[in-house]
Amino acid sequence: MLEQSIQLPYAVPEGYFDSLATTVLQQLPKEEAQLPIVSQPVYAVPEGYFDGLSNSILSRVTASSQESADELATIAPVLHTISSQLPYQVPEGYFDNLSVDMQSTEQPQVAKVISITGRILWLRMAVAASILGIILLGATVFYQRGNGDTYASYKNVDLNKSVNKLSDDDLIKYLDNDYIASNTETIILDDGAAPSLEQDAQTVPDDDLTQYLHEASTHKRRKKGI
Amino acid sequence: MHLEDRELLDLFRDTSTKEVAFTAIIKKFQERLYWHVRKMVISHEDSNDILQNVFIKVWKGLENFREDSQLYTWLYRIATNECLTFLEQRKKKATISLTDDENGLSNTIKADKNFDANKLEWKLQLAIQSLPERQRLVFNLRYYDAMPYEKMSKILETSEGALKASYHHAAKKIEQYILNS
Repeated sequence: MLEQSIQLPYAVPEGYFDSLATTVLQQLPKEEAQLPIVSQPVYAVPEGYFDGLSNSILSRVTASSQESADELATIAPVLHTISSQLPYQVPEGYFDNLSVDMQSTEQPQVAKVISITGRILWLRMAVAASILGIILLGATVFYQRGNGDTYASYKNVDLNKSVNKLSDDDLIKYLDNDYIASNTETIILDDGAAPSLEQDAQTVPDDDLTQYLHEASTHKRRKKGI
Repeated sequence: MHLEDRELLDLFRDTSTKEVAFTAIIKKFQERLYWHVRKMVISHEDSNDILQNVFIKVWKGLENFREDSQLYTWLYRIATNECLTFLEQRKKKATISLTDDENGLSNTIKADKNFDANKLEWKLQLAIQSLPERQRLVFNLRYYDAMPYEKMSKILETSEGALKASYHHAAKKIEQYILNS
């Protein structure tokens, strides 16, 4: 019932839809010829180019691999027999999840650059100055200690002033002990062991005495410049 | 499906599609670049750091890419330079800490959980580490990637003859190392 109600009253020529596509295609060249610009490709492709493209690329890749393999067989025959499979592994799903940190690709914030060269220079100079100071100080102390008791340091001492400063008791004590004990000449004279000049002269031959007196007078004259 | 380099570059230069293009570039080249780096620095963590740096440099420099070379060649060159810089820094650190860097890479190999000193592929890895860095680069590109010398010449900016000589020398040294080990 329903189908009958929506049926159109128009009739279509028999076999119309079967031949429609062919009819349209037959009409196309006529319409294109009316266009001012021809949309057909300008470049021509050799017949069967795309059919053989994959094979052509594959043969090139294979040829490259073959060439490399042949080369290796010539220069290193043992190496040629070893499998060129890499033994390393990649974490599972690494390539699926690989992404570049895009924040890193942005211009990084430029931090204030403080040169440490100047600081290092000052530090080096300070250390060098300290070392030099220590060396100079050490040398001075060493010099003073090493040369403090030399003759030069006593040379400038005023003996009279120093003696005047001493008390009478100190002087008596010195004369009683140190001075007498160290004065060997006095000890010898007091001992009476040393021969007198007169006794000594009597034992010396006359010739020796004459020669001694002559030498002594010559020496005195030389000293006086006569 | 990967887009052509030309399309990727055009998309990258358009502000509205820049990030999409960048992600596509990462997806397209990540594995090749990763293995190129990994063969040089061995450790996965170091490789990941270097790969991140490579792509950050790509982001910064791709707008000025002059296209007088292929995108792939340009990326490889960045990755190579990053590897060499990393290895140089590692050497300097080793000098300061008085450690042997050559042994450092060998030790990294030996520290791998799958390392087996009796297996040839691991012996080969140790042998490769005994080569100087640039010779190692040449050997890896030729031996593992079968890269033609012409292409390698563009990446490493060295003459084809020198690369060929370097590869031959490296292959003989490695073979000798394996035979003696």
